[in-house]
Amino acid sequence: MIPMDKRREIPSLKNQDSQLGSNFGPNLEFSWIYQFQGMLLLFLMVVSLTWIFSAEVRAGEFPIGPTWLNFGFSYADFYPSMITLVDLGIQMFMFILGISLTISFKKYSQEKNHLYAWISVGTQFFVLLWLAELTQLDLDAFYWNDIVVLSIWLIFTISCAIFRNLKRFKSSKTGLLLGFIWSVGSVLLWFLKFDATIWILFFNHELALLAWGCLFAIVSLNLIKNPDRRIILPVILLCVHFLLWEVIGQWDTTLFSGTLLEFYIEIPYEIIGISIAAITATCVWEWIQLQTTSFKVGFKIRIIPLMVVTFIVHIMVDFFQPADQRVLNTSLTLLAIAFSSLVTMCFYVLEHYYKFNVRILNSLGKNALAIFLLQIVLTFPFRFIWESEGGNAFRIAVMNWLSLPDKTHIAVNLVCLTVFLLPIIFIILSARIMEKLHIHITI
Amino acid sequence: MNDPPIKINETHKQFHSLHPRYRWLDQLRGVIVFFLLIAFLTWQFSSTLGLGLPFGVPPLGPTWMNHGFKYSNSNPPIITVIDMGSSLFMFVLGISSAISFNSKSKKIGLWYAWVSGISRFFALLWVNQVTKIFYRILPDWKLTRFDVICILSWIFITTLTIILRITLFKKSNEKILLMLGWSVLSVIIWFPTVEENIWTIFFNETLAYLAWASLFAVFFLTLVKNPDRRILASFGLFAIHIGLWELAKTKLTHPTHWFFEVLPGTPLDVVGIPFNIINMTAIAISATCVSDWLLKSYPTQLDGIKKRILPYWVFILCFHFVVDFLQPARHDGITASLAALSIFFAIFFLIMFYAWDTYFDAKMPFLTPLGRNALLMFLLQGIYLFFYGFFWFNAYDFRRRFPGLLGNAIGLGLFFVPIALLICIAWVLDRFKIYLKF
Repeated sequence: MIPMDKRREIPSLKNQDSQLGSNFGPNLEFSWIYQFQGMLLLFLMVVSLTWIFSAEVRAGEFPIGPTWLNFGFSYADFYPSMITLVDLGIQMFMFILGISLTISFKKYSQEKNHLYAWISVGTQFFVLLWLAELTQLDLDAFYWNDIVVLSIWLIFTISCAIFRNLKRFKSSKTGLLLGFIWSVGSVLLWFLKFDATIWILFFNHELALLAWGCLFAIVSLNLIKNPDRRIILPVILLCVHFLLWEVIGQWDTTLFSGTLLEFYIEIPYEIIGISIAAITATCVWEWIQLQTTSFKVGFKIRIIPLMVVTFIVHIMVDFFQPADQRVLNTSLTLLAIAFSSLVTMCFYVLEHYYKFNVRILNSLGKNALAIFLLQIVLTFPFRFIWESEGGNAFRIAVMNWLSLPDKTHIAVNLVCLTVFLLPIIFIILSARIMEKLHIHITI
Repeated sequence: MNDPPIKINETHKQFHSLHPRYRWLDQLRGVIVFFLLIAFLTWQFSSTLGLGLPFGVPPLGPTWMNHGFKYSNSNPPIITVIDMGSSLFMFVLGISSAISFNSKSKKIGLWYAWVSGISRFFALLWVNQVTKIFYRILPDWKLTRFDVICILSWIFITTLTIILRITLFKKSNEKILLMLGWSVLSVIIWFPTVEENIWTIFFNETLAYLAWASLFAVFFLTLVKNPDRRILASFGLFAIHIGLWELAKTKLTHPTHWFFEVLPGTPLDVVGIPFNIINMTAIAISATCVSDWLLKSYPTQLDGIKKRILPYWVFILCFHFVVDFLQPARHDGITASLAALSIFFAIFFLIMFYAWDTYFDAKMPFLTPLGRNALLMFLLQGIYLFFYGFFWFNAYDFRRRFPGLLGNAIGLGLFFVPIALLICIAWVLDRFKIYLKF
C-alpha cells in the first residue's frame, strides 16, 4: 500500500505524459483520453443513424446498420432488455468525462485557485444543460415571442464573445466568469422557449444527466479526498438504487398542484446511476496516479480488481434486476463501469505500451463539443424525414426508386451504406481540418 | 525498445510440449471458456418471450450473455458476444495451432507437425461424434447391441494405444503416428453409431468447423510462409463466402440452406455449401498470421503488434462495418461480417491479456487453469447440463416452479455453483499438472 501523502503529486502527470500537449490544463495532454472520447463520438455518430433507421424486426421489417450498434430496446422491446455496447454509451461517456473533469479540476485548483476550478465546473454544468435544451428544440413550433427571446440570446452571446476576446478579459479570471454568466444566461433564455416540463429537461435528458454527473463527481472529489474511501459512495448509491427500485419501483408525483409552482417529480434513478459512474471515474483517475513514477501500479492493484469485481457483481445483480438502459439501473451501471475500466486500460496501453494511436480519434476527441453539435446538424435531415418511419421505409423507398424486387437487394444495401458513410466521412474530415487549424471546441 | 520479458511460469517440459506456454494465451483461452460456461447455462434457461409464445417469461442470467436469436428470433438477428463464441475459440485455436506447428516443424520436422495437425483434425471430429451420440441416447439412456460393440472396440483400441504410448513409443517421435492411428480409428469406429448423415457430422457442426479450419490453417501455414501474403488468403475466402452467400440469398428463401440432393437413402443423401467452414478457415488463417506477426516475423513482439496486428485490428472493424450492410452478421451461418467482428474482439482480448501479462504483470487468478484445460471444461459442463435437462428445459419451466425473488436467488445458485465447481476442478488439475489436450 502506498502512503497517501506520496500519491498525489500532480507533477507525476508531467513525468508520465510530458510529451503530450494540453486541453486539460496548461502543458498537459492525454492522448489516450482523446482517443477514448473520439471513439465514443464516432460511435455516437453511427448510433444516431442506426437509431433513426431502426425497424420493427418482429414485424418482418429490416433495419439499416449493424444490429449491435443500436440500443437493445430499439431492436426488440421485451423485458428484460437486450444490452448492447450502445446501451452502455452514456455511462461510458460519463466515465471518461469524469476522468477528464477530475484532471482539469485538480489542475485549475493547483495552478489558479479553488474558486476558478469551481466556476469552470459550473460553466460546464450549465453548458450541458443548455445543450440539452438545444437538442430538444422543436423547429415546428416557432412563435414571435420565441424569435424575440432567441434574438436576445444572440445579442447576449455576441456581446459575451466580444468581451471575452477583449485584451482586458482574455487572460484573466473575468474571462471564465464571463463564460459562466453566458452559460447561465443561455439556459435561462432558452428555457423560455420550451413547453417541456422542468423535470424532463433538467433531470431526465441525457445531457442533463451528464451535467448532474459532473457536478456530483466534483462535489464528491472535494468531500472525500481519499479515493479508497470515496469509492464507498458509489457503492452506497448502488445499494440505494437497487433497494429503491426493488421496494418502490417507478414513482412520481406532482408538487404544488394547481399553483404556479406546479412541479412534476419522480425518483431520479438515472441521476443516481450516472453519478455512480462519475464518482467512480474520479477514483479511477486518482488510482491511476497511485504511484508517482508509473501509472502501471494503479492499473494493476486498483483498476483491474475494480473491473473484475464490478463485472462479477453485475452478473449476480442481473438475476434480480436485469440491466435496463432506460433507468440506468444497478446492473447496467456495474457493467458500464467494468467495460469503461477495460476500455480506459485499452487506450492507455495502446498509447503507452504499444505506442499506437488512431489519429482520427485524436482529432475527434479534441473537438468533442464541435463534433457533437455537427453530428446533430448532419443527422437532422434524416431525423426529420425518416425517424418516425424507420429503416424499413427507407429501404422500401430506395427499392421502389431503383425498381428492385427486394428491400435487401445488394443495390439497396449499397445505398444504405453510402447514407451512413457520407456523414461519418464528413465528420472525420471536419475534425481533421479543425485540428490542422488548431481549433479546439470541447465541453 | 527491448522486448518485454515473456512470462512462461512453467517450463514447457512440464506440459509435455515442444513450445513454450504463454500465460496470456492461457488467460485468453480461459476467458473464452468462462463465457462458454455461462453461455451454456443462459441457453438452458432462455426466455420463451422472444419466440412469441404466450407463456413468455424473462430468462435467467444477463440477456447479453446468451445468443441473440434466443432473445428474439428475428432477421437480422442481434449479435452478442456469445454469438461470436465459436469464432473466438477458432481464433485462439488458430494461434495455438500456428505456435505448435512452427515449433514442431522446426524442432522435429515438417512431417511431425503435419501428422500432429491431422491427429487434431480427427480428434475434433471424434469429439463431435461423441457429443452427438450423447444427445441421441440422452432421452432414454438406452444403448443398442451395436452401440455396445462399437464402444467396447473403441475402449480396447484406446487401452492398447495408451499402453504402446507409455512403453514402446515413450521416447520415440513415432508416437505421433500412434496418436494419428488412434484418432482415425476412433472416428471410424464411432461413425456407425451416429444417426446423422455425413454432411451433418463432418461438415455442419461447430466442432467439425474447428477441425476443418485448423487443418486448413496448417495447410496455409505450409503453403504461404509469409504472413503478410497469407492474410490475403483469408480475405480471398471472405470474398468467396460473400459471393456464394449473395448467390444463395437470391436463389433460395434462407441463405444457409443451399443444399443439394446427392445419393438419397445413403449417408450422403444431402450435402450443402460449407459456408461456415469457409469463414472459420478465414478466421483460422488470420489467427496464424497474428501469431506469426507477434512471435516470428519481427525482432521484437511489440514491433509485430504495432506494425501489423493493431493496424489489422482497426482495418478488420472497418471491414465488418462495411460488410454488415451487405450481409448482416448471423450466428447460424458465420457471415464475413460476424467473422470480421469476431477477429476484432479476439485481437482486442489478445492485446489486453498480452499487456496485462507483459506490461502490468497481472493475471486473473482463475482464467489460467480454465484455459489450460479448455477441452476438459467443455466436456465437463455437459454433465451438469445433462442433470439440469431432467428438471428444466427453459426459463418458463424453472420460473413456474420457483417464481419471484426466490427463483432469482436459486437461479443465481444454479449458475454460480457449477461454474465455481469447474473452476475448482481446473485449479486442482492445474496444481497436479494434469491436462487433457490434443
